[in-house]
This record gives sequence, structure tokens and C-alpha cells, in this order.
Amino acid sequence: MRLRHAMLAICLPVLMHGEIVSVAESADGPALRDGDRVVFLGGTLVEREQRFGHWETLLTAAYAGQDITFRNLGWSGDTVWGESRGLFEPHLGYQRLVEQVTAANPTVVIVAYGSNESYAGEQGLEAFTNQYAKLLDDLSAKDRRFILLCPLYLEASQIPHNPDAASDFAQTQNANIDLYAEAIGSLAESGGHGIVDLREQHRQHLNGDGPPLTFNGLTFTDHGYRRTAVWLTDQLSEHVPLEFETPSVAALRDAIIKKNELFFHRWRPQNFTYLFGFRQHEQGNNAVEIPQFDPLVEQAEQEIAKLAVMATKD
Amino acid sequence: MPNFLSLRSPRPLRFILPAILLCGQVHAQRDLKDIPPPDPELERKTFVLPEGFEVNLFAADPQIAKPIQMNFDPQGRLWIVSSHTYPQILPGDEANDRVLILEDADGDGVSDSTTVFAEGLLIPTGIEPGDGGAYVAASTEVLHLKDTDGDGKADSRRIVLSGFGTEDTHHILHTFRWGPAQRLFMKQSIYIHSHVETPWGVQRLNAGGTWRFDPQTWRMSVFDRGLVNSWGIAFDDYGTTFATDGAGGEGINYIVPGASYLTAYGAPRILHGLNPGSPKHCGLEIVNGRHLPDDWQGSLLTNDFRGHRVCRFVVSEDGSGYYSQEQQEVIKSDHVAFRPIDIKMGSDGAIYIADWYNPIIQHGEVDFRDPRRDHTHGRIWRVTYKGNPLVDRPKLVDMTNDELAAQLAAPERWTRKQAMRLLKERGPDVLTAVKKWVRNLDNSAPGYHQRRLEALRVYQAHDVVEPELLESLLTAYDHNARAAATRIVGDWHLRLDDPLALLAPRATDEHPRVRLEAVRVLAEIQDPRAIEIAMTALDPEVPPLSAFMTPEERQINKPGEAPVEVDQWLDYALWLTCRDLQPVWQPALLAGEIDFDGNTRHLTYVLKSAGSAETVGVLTQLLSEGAVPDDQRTDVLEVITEHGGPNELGELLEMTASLDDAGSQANVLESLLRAHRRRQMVPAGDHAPLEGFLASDKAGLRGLAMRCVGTWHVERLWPQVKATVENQQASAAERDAAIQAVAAYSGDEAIELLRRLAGDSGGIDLRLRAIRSLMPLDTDAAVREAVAVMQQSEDAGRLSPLFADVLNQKPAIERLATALNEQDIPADVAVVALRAVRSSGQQLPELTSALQKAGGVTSGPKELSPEEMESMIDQVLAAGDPAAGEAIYRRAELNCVKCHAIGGAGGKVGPDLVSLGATAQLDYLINALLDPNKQVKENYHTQVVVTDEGQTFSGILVRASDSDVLLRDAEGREISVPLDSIEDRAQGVSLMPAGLTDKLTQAEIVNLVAFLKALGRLPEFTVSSTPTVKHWEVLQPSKESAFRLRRVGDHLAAQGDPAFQWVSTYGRVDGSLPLGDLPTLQIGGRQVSFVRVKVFSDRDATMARLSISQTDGLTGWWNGEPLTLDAEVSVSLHSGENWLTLAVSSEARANDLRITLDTTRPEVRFAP
Repeated sequence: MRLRHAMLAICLPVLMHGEIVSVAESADGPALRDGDRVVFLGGTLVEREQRFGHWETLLTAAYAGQDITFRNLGWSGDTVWGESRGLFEPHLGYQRLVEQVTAANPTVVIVAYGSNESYAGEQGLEAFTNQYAKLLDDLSAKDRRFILLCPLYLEASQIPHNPDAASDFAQTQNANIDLYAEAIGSLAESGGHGIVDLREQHRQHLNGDGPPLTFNGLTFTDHGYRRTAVWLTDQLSEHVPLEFETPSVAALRDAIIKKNELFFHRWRPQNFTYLFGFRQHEQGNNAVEIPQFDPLVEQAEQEIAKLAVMATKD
Repeated sequence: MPNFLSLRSPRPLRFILPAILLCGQVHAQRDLKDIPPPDPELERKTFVLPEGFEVNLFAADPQIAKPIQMNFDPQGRLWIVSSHTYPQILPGDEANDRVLILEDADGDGVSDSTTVFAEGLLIPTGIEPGDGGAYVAASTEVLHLKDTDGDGKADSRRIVLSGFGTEDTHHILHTFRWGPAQRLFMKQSIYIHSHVETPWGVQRLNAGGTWRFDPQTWRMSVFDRGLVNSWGIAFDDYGTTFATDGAGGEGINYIVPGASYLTAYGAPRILHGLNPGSPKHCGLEIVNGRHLPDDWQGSLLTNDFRGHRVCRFVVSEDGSGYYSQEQQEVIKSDHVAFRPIDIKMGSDGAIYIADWYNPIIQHGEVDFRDPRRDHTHGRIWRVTYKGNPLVDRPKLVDMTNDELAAQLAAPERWTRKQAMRLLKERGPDVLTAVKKWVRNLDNSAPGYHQRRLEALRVYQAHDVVEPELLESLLTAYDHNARAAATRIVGDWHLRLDDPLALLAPRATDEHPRVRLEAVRVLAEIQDPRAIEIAMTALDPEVPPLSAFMTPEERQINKPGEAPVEVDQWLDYALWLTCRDLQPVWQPALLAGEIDFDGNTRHLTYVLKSAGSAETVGVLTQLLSEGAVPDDQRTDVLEVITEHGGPNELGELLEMTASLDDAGSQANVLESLLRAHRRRQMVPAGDHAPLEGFLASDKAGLRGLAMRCVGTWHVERLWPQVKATVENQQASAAERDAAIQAVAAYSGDEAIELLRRLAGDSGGIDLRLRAIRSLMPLDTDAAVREAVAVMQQSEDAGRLSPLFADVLNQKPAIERLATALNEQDIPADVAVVALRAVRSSGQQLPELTSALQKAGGVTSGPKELSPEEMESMIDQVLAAGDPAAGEAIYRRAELNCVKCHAIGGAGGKVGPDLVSLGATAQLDYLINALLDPNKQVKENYHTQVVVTDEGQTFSGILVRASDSDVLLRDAEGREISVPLDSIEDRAQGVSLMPAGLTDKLTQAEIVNLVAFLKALGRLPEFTVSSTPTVKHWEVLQPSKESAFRLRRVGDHLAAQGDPAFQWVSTYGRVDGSLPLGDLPTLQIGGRQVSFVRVKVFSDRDATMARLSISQTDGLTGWWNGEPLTLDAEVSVSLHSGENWLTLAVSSEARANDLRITLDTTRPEVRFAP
């Protein structure tokens, strides 16, 4: 596990100066522990990870043999204000965000906000930072740890040609990403939270000649999720499975994707309006079906635990 | 026999027998216990087509099932998305929905191969082939599926976009179609909330709307907002956009870029569809080509999936918008499972129709797991015309770029569209071929400009600016080409040298639709001058046409055309642009950088459209200088009321003194009172003008002035108010206003005064007013007096306003429920109060039971046991008489007509019932009558809103903007509540009164259900597509009117005598007005009824032909002049309202009255 001094040193060289030590000490020990219930929170980057499963696969394999479960609560376009979660009551988005996390009852929340918000640039930074702090405060609970994931850069080479966009669009936006990432670093420091900042690896990759990670500069390809999975796991565990193309890892990943799909039907079911919303008097009787996904998720998790052990034996 | 209803009198036998004969059989077939056999041929045999057309089965189950959307690719293959899973995935099931490709290789009009291109999808609802595969709407995502190894199956699945809402699976992202410039148009519906990340930032859309997405640049935006559940979008040859709505009833919608339509989220103003009162429509295609007859060219085809009909509309230009008229159906059927939902032209020039095939539609009203839902069948039908040969199917994919460019001139839009698609996919190299092609076009051939526009579109699709071609099209003789080119300026404005110079002449174009396009494009341009240019579209003058015309065109051109009118669409576009550009023009205006060249009309229009606290001072100044044009006065007052601070309001009050008519003065005072009600604003200054108003000889003005004194707490004038309250000589109206003023003034003295008046049994009306005014100030005392009044009341109806006030105030509701304990009140009073409770939409069990107990009445929802329901259904099927049911529906005491419209005719509180019978099942209808809260239609739940002042408002949500919530109450009144003042909002119940059926016998309920079940299903209960008078006005009998008619003559009725009172009424579904329902006047021994009808015209000196069902016993006047009546009458209309007045002699006429309009004149129409 390297969620400590070295990593923080990479992440916050400017801001941290000599104050690193105390944060690092409090965050010592493995990032994830036996019995952890981990929630991923964020926008498209997180939401779509459930369809690729690479992050979760690598983390699961790295902690094989331990009882650690993952719940993906990503929602496209979301922000620290919970802007994507309001449904019929946009003003309740934030409340829903808190409720959704509370319902999952996690011991660890991996928070990946900042990317969508960063389009507001320097002007939006203060509001973002305050709201992020409030979110962490509102989500905090006994025995709950936070790991803050800094936003990633736009991949300039992959940004589609848009004749109306400014020529330095990617540069400007990546400067914004730096601003927001650094603010998140400060929050982690002052709150004693863990932080995962992949910008350095990302920058090296973008400057190198490896295959692209995104197909439009923003959203990650399968390869993008694989690369970031390695970087992420490298920061969150001591055992990064170096080879993850084996059949047993592939089987593990399939099971994880399947589990995520079941869980998606559980927490974000279609027809919310009729099952739980203002037309539930019509079809609310069918809402009993939704908790029927719980045993299916549980079953899938048992399968995942078995496959994880097998995957690490290969 | 179920015993839940009182059976007052048995229905005479002679009535039931014919009913069985007439309806029993038909109903039995419709009963959903009889699921029809799925044989396609049996279904096909029920189809009725226009003369000369035929229909064949192109594909069916088991090859395809449950098609949802379809589109053709350039090879002519038909791509379909289909779902077995809809409406909801079952735990443990795999989502395994499919994309299918159908191919008719031998061209015999029947699909001969079906390929499963992709499976494993969750309720896919949109498909458009392109970019080597297909874009598919799949729940929260847009996928691009591709076959990379050529085996016909997708092996690459890329998530393109994610974050689309799934709150309702028949609203999720759907209906894909390539737009004119090859951007992907995608629709979502009312319950959906989407949040999509693009490299350029997050895009959000709450509720319905159309997305426009460019897969190449990843630019994404919202093209239009609203519509309830729109599954139809189509572009004509010039890119003009139309849409249909699968849950709204306004037929064809003409889409103005950026505009909002029915149910748009946060829209303070919307545009309406072209056919109000239509049934719901799904899918949309504009048809053309050599295979179809001439009069079908350009027709809009869509599906009335509830009424089992494929419909045809013809739209014609009407100012800056369009007029739409329905024609005979393409297909009409009574097959209960025929559900046409998509419609597209094919490569052979035939029409293809996707038939979802299901006896059950929707999933709100019928259980997700209802066993009657069909999950396995589906059909594609193909309609051809016997009079013309099919079109040779073009082999587009094999063509060279030059050949493909030439296809842009093909007669069939299908071919042009697909050629355009291929030209896009081949990359910008094709521009060489396109350039060559356009240069060699014959400039004298018909369609020359349209072809050049197609060429320009190829440039647009490749994002390559071509200023020369653009500029020549902007000044082309064909106004459609100018309108389309204007919209393209919007796309390229950042890369054009001087887009404002290109747009300025188009803002004053001789054609209003070109002006509209220019106005909308100007909204994109972040330059303060843009608003100045946009406002020139208000000017009626038409400048001389451009020098770009060919000599031939110049000859046809007639300078000095009629002035351009600002019609509803242009006005909307201007208003929207003012608001869109506000962040740009407002700072510039305040800094003195723009001045609209001193044109106060332009300036006023901008400020009244996009009012703000910052600019209200400018507006007040314009008003004080007398610079506000009369027709903008009301709007200007509204804006000052809405945004003015104390200083502006004070100035307004000062100004009022110098106005010369009391009506205008009263308007201003009302506006000022509204400013206080909405924003607690009090005009600055000493309020001197009030003194003059208090001394006015107009009682109304005195009353308003007193209310101002009270509301603004003007101490020095308070004694005058007090004096009026106590003045027994003052008129009731004036004392009423004075009491309101006292309540507004408040304070101990005022409360004491009100307490005294509330207990004063001198006059009931003033006492009621005092009680109501006291209610928020001393609720206990007010409720005490209210109960006393209730107990003594002789006229329960008079108490309605009291109950309405009680229901607005939470503490009063609670106190009244307590105060009624152990008290007796007359039953009538209890009934009126209970009705008020019901129509408030609030659930108030304590008050309800207190009222029931005190009044000794019972009422409420009924629940049927399954056996009772079964028995009821059997009775409807065996003995239900829809005609008798219609008479019950029309009864005044049931109020059905007051809340519901049928085909637009009637109230707007509840859903339009136009095609209810074609969709709703009998059990649903019966439940809806007996227990209205069991199932409530989307959009018809009440919203209960509590303000920070403790006031409660309830009604159906009409619109919510970023400043106000607009509700429609049970009386059809619209109530606007400022968002800032709202403390709590909750979902209420249905406004439909429970216990409505208490007033009916069992047999009457059976007939009423039979009528509802017949709506839109049986021809005689289907609203005709011929314009028919639905809305009549009837002269109310009174001594005075009878006297005056006797003295002056019947023609007086046609001359708008102020003594006459006309009341609205609606005809039957078939348009006939039952004579028996008409009140008659005794005029010198004659029994005469008078009815009149409003006919609108958009232009002066228009001729129209009216058909009257029969002229016996009728005497007629047209606009006050005698009219010789015949079965067909020609009349000349002036612009605006025209009146046909008829005297009906009851003795000389037995037949009901029905009037229709010759349909060839788009500019003439009856009142809705």
C-alpha cells in the first residue's frame, strides 16, 4: 500500500511543503481493509467504469481473499452539488446524493468529482471547494474513510476537431483541472483523507507515444480504463497484478460487470416514476421486484470472491 | 347486482333493447378478454385505405417482434430496434433486446432476410444507421454498434454518450434521425432528466426535448424543448422541422429552433401545435416521390396508435409558420392490436409502417406484468399506390462521388437524404465533386435553389464554410432557400467575416419566416448589435428585393408587397431572442453603447420581453414620456409590476394621476397591488394621487384606491377607509373593497373593526367578506363566525368563496374541522364545502369527516370487488348505450364538460378525452369514474403549493418557469405563484371529484362508461377531421332580452346588444348541437333560440364556405348583416373575429344543428 508519504509528495508538491507528515501518518496502513464496503462516487468516468470493470477487477484481485465489496454510484454529469441526481426535483439532487451513499453504508468512499466542475475555471473554484468540503462533511460517519480521486486531464490529441473551439481549449481546460486537483489535494490534507492523484502518470502517458486513452479527449476507452486501473491500484494496494489478460482475470471481470449491472437495476431502476415516484399509486405494487435484485447481487459477489482467489493463483 | 350504487329508478326496458342491438356486438369484440388471433392476414383485412392504395405485409413475427423505431440505410435495408423486455426488466432475466436488419433483396416488397445485428440490449428505443454501423438508444446510453469483420453481426460496441434518464421506459431517449446537416437528432420525453458529459462541457436537459449531436465534433445542444412524449420528427426539403406528440393533443408541431412547447421545463412561454384537439400521434414522415399521387407530395404522415389509424396531414405556409389540415386516413382499422408507431419512406417509393402489435399500450395505467401484454408479435406493413409504378431502387453505395452528387437532385427525398449521408461518410474530399455539380446546374430549371441548398448542406455537414454559395442563397428568389441559408449562418457565424451584415437584410425580409430564422440565428451572436438588428423584424416595411435575382425572377417580383405582420411565431422568436441575448444587450444598453437608433418601439419590445430590475427604470421613463406604443402598454405595466423597485412604482403611481381615463388608472392600481402581493413592494413617495382617486366618481376606482391605502398603510387616508366601512349608505361593492382595505391595513383597530363586521348579521355578503378578511388575522374568531354563517345559511352556493379561502389557509382548515365538532350544519352547505375540498386537490380527511358528520352526508370513492367489476363490464358490453351516455356526459350538474375537452372542445382542467375509448380498457374507465385517484393521467396530478405567508394554492401544473409556478385550478383559472414565495410543494390528488357518480343511477353509469369507451373508436364518437363548429355561444333568456328582441326584431341578437348575455356551450362529439339543450326565448308567442359562432380569419377579404346541416327554421346573420341561408353559404371574412348568428325556431325545426367549414382556406378557422 502506498497511500502515504510518497504519493502525497507527488500529488501536492507545491501546496504541502513540510506539513505532509501528519496527514501521511494518519492515513497509514493499507488503503482497503478486510470487511470494507467501498463506494465509487463521481460522474461519467466512474459510472462507465462499471461497464468496463477494470478498476474494480484489479482492486478485487489485489485484495483477493479479503471480504471487500464495491458499489458504483457514479452518475453521468454529476458534481459535488449532486446536479444529476435530482430527477423530478432538481433542487433535491444533493440530498439524494447523500441518501444514496448512506443507503450503501460504505466504510470507504472513493470520490471522483472535479472534472465537470472545472469547466467553470478559476471563477468557480471557491464554490466548488466549499461544496466539496460540505459534501465530505455531510457524508462523514463513524468508521468511514474517504479517498479523493483527482480529476484527469483532457487528452488533447483525441479531442475532436471543432472549428469553433479556441485553439488552446485543451490547454486551458487542463490548467483548470490542475487548479481543481490542487484544491482537492488541500481538502484531503486538511481533512486527513486519502488522495489518489494520477496526473503525473497521466501527463507522462500523454507526452509519450502510447495508444490513446480516450476516444474524444474526455471519455476513456477500454484501454484507458485498463491503464488507469493499473495506476489506481498501484496507489491503493501493494500488489498490482501485473498480468490481467489471463482467462481467470477475464472471468473475474465478467462477473464484476454482471454484478454491476444487477446493482444498477437495484439502485437506479428504470420507471422510477411509477415504482417510487409520483405515479407509484399506479405501479408501485411492482416496486417489490426491485429488492429482489439484492440476493442476485449477493450471489454474484460470492462468485466474484471465488473468482478473485482463482485469478490470483494463475 | 352490485349494491354499491343507489339504484334510483330502473331504466325502462324499451331503452335497453335497442342499445343491445346497436352496441352489444361491437363491444364484445373490443373487450380485452378476447385477444384477437395474431394472424397478420386477419389484421390486414381490417385495414381501410384510400381509393387506389393497397397494403402488404413486409415482415412479421416470428422474424421480428415488438418493433419500436426503424430507419433505412443507404443500401435500402431497414434497421429496427425491438424490445421483449419493455416495460421493465424482471429480476433474474437477461436484458436481451435486439437490433434487426431486414432486407428485401429481390425487390418484391417483402423482406426476405432478417439479421440479428445485435442483442443483449436493454429496451433500445432509437436507431439510425451510420458511420459503418448504427447508433442505438439503449437506456442511459447511446451506443455505436459496428460490424468490423463483415459477418453481418455487430462485434464492436462503443458507448458514445451516457447519462440519459430512465424514469419512464416509454420516455427514455428515442427517435433518432439524421438532420439536414447530418447531425443526429434524438428525442427524450417529459419524465426524463439527462446529464451528458462531452469534451466541451456537461449538457443537461430536464423533461422533454430534442437533442442535436454531432458525432464528429462531439458538439451537443438542445434544439427544442417540451412536448409530452414526442416520437416524431421530420425535416422538409428545406430543413424546416416538424414534430408529433405521442401524449399531447396538438397534432403537427412546427418547431422553431430553440423554442419551447407543451410541458417544457422552466419555460415561461410556449408555442402550440397546429392541430389542437387532435388525438396523440407517434412517428412522423414527410412523403414524396414519383410513386405517390400528386396531392400526396409533401404530406406529413403519422400514426394515431390509440385509434388504430395512420393519418395524413397537409401543411401550408401561414405567415412565419404553418397551417395544418388533416386528410383522409392512410389506414383505418378496428383491429385492437394494430399499433402503428413508426412510419418511413422506403427506397422503392413505398410507405413502410412499423406496427408494434399490442392490445395493451403504455405501462402507467396497466400493470407491468399484465398477462395481456404482448411481447412476441410485430409487423412491418408496406403501403403502395396502384396508380403509379414503384421507383427503381438506387444503388447509391456503388456510385462515384460525381454520381452521388448528382443524386442530390433526385425526385425522391429518400434518395437525396441517403446520398447526403454517403457524401458525409466519404469525408470532405467529396466537396470537389459537389462543387463541380453545383456549378453546372441549370439556373432556369425548377428546383434550382433547392439543389444549391443541398450542395451547401454537404459543406455544412463537413463543417467547411462556403461563403459564396451561402450568400447567393441568402438572397435567392425562393424564400424557403433564404430561410434555410439563414439558419446555416448560425452554424458558421464564428467563421464568417461579418455575419451581422448577412443577417440584417434577412431580419427585414419580405417573407416573415425568413425574418423568424434571422431573429433566431441572431440569438447566437454575442454582439450587442445583434438585438438591434433582430428588432427590425418588428417593422412592417418590406425592402426591395435583392439584386441577386435572375432577370426572369426580377420580372415576377412585385415590389411593395403587403406589410409583414408579427404573427404568433415571429413574436415568439423575437421574445425568445430578447431573453437569450439579455446578458449581451443589457450591459451595453445601460452603458449607452446601443440605442436602437432611437426607435422606442424596438426598445420597449426588448425591455418588456426580458424585463429586469436593472432596466425597469428605462421602461418607466419611456412610459412617462408617452413613448410606449398602445399595443405594448399592458405588457409594459406587467414588467414594471414584476421588476420595479419602490422608486419606479412610485413614478408609476405619480404618472397615473395624469391619465385621462379611469380604466387605465384602475389598471395601474391593480398592477401596483399585484406588485405588493407578489413582492411586497410599496411605491415610494407620498402616494398623493390616491387622494384624487378616493374622491373619484367611479366606485371601482375608489375601491381600488382604498385597497391601496390599506395595503401600503397610508396613515393619513386611513380615516376615509374606516368611514366607508361604517357608511351604511355606501354601495355593497364599495364597502366590500373597504373591508379588504381594512384587512390589508391590519393592526388592532382594524382587527377589532373586522371582528365586529364578521359578527354583524346585517348583510350576508359583507359579513362573509369580513369573515374571510379576518381569517388570517384572527383565525379563531373568523372560524367561529364562519360556522355560525354555515348554520344559518339559506343559500349554500354563496359560501363557496368562504370555503375557498379556508382551504387556502392551513390553520383555518384545522380550526374549522375542530369547530364543526358536535355541530349541525345544513346538508347543502356540507355538500358545497365537500365539493370545495375535493376541487382543492388536497387530502383533508379530518375536515372531510367533520363536514360529513355535521351535515349528515356521505360521499366518496367507491371500490368494486372483482366480481362487481366483472358484472359492471358485462352490463356495459350488453346494454351500454353511448348516445345516452353522451347526454349524461353533457349534463350541467356533472361538470364533465367544464373540466374535460373532447378534441379541444371543453375545459382544460382534465385530460382531453378525444380518443380515450381507443386506448382505455373498461376496468380502467370504471375505476376512473368511481375512484379518480386510483389512476391519474400524467400531468394531471395536482400540485399543492404552500407559500411563506401560509397560503395554499392547488391545481394542475401548467408550467414552471424560473420565477413562477403556474397552476390551473378546478375552475379552469390559471394561478401564478412566485417561486420565491413557495415554502412547500407536494403532490396532491386528482381534481376529478370523487363521489361524482353519487348523482347517477347504475344504468346511467353504464351508459356513461359506454360513451367514454366509444370515444375515438366508434365513427360517430370520433372527432371529424373536417373543421366543425364545436364551440357555440347561446343567448340566455331574460325578460329584458326577450323584450328588446320583440321591440327591435331578431336581428338585434346579431348586433352585440350589451343587455344580452351569451353563454358558451359545446356540441356533441360529432359536432351537432342538440336543439333540446338550447334555452328558448318567448318572443311574441314564438319560441326562439339564438346561437352564434365565431370564425377567425388571418386576412381581410377572404372568402369561405360554410355547410349547414339543414336550414329549416333558421334565420341567419353574418357580421350583423342578414344572410341568405342555404345548405352551403359563401361568406366574406375580414381579419380577426367574424360572427355567424342564427335564430332557431323551435317549432319549425326538429333536427340538431351542425356547421362545417370548407377546408381549403388555411387562414380561416372556427374558435377552438
